[in-house]
Amino acid sequence: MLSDSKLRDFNVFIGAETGILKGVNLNEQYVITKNFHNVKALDREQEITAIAWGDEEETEVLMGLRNQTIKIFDTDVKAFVSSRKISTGSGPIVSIGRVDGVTLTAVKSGQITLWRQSGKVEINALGRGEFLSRMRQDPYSQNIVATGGKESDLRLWDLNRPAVPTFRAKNVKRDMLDIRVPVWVSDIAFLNDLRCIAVTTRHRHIRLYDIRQQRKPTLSFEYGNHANTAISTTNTCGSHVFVGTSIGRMGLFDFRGKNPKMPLRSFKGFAGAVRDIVVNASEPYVFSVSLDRFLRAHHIYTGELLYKEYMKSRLNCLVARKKTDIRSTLPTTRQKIRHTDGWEIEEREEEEEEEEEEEVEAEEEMCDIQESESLDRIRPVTNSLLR
Amino acid sequence: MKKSQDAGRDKRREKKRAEKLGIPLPDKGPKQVPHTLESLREKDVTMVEEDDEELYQEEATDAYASYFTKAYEPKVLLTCSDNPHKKTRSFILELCKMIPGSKPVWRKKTSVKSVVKQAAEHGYTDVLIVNEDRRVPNAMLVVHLPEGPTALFRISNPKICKEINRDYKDISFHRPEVILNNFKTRLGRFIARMLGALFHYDPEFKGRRVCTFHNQRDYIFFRHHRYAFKDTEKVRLHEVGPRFTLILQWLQEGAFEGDFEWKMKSEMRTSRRRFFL
Repeated sequence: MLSDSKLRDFNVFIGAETGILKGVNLNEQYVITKNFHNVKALDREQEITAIAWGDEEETEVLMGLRNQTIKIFDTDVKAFVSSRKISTGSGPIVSIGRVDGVTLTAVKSGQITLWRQSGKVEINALGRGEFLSRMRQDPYSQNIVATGGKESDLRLWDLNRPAVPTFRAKNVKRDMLDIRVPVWVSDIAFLNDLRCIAVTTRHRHIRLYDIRQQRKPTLSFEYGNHANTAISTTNTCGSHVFVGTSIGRMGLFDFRGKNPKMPLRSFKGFAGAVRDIVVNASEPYVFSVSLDRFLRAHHIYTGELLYKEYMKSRLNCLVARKKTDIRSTLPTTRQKIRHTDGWEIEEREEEEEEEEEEEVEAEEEMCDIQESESLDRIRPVTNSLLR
Repeated sequence: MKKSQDAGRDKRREKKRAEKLGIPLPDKGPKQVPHTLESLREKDVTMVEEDDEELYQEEATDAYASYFTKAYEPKVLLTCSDNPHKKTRSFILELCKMIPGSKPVWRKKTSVKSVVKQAAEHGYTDVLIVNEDRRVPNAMLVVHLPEGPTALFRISNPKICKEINRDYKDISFHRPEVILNNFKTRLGRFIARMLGALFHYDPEFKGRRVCTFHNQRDYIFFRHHRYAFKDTEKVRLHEVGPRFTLILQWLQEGAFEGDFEWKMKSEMRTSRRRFFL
């Protein structure tokens, strides 16, 4: 049996449309989900629209709400630590982050603010666009921020020089009817080669920008017939990217492949729009959260749906811990757990060890870059699981 | 056929034999209830439970909350695709008679987005667009106006009053009661609220009119009756008005724009015993 502290450690935090923060604890024996809010005290204005880790150690969860409030949840104490109202521009908080311990927020009307004690640094990221959809922090250098929105193409900003963007993307050529191609950036991802940025749009495009080469996208193609809503990189392969659509399709794309337009793999099982995708840093799993109220975990390379949990509310965004030894812990056959406060647990009956061997073979075939880390993880379940 | 004949014959033989010998018939245990597709339905995690705090909270704050608090009276705009044929025209007019507070408007090649926008400006709360194919209504788009959800239903087996030997003039102007049967999952519950919110919240029981949406195996059967209670137990039903079946195709958040909350895909039909509403 796991010790008490491990029992209460949550791997994944999800923000819902009703304003509830949900924590999910996936481990080898059971799955626990918990609502961290008093449900009755919430209303639509407290919808969680942005979520992020507060620090490297993942002890704090930052949440941005629809009514421009920032809430901080401490994962050690398992309680809301602070709540702070900000007022810049209008609209919900679209993205949130931290730079050297200082909170960074982006609002739908385009203002990106770094709330320094000495004086706030503000960037007007909208330009001539209608509204801002997303702001992402560069994971490799905290000061750099990418923004995109409706009719506001990709821009890179340096927080030390807020007046002018360091990179402004140029739109693609006019289409065959000589009409300007409309722009509506829905999500942005930084690839780990430090020069490429992948962008998805609600006009079905997936684009790759090489910042050092040119302003126009080096690669631009369409995926499916519907808007793309989310994008995420995998940490192992520098050119692999997950893209989710608004009807519930998720595809794994390889920008360096022979034909990047064809997804390497399509992920099935969604009934509604994919809202947010997070790839687990240490294991080959991808977590996704969708409008049909489910949290799903797929295996990256086999595409198998490993885990699916009903969350009751429409889900907006999620964060997952980087270092979790989930491979041996993702339950395959498990008893259903539903709980709010009492820790009622039912143990699952058998473990399947055969699966692990098959997974290894699939990995070797799929990804070019061999990561020796992932192979080392095949070991029997020990007591030192989460963190 | 032959199997049941044999079974009947065996039963009768046994009974005769038992009577002859004066022995009681062997007790075969309690009568077995036959399995149906509904009883064998795949367990669905999203089935709504009774006291679910989260559910009630969500319903108190969603797009239809103001309907259930009687904050507004529904005003429905009914349209169809361009150049409708006779059956669709009759269908629309009968739907208008049936739904209180509704108005038919002929659509002349206006795009759906434009219809939605204009209806919102004129104070409508819902838009119903009936699509026609091969001279017969085949789909219905229900849009809730102030940025509300949109649902597309496929209409199958539409019957106007004349086809069931009724007169559309029999549909009185009393506001009907609405019955929503068998919507068990979360999605089903949301759709039920959506359909119920088309009708006025205050029924006139004097008129004894009922509109029923009965869900069975993801098919929503719509029937329109006038009822009369013979005594406390028995009811006489007289079917009036159009009759059709709806099948949900997709549900989108936003008035004909935005992300899809649910979309039917062929990969979701994993088994014959899996239903979504």
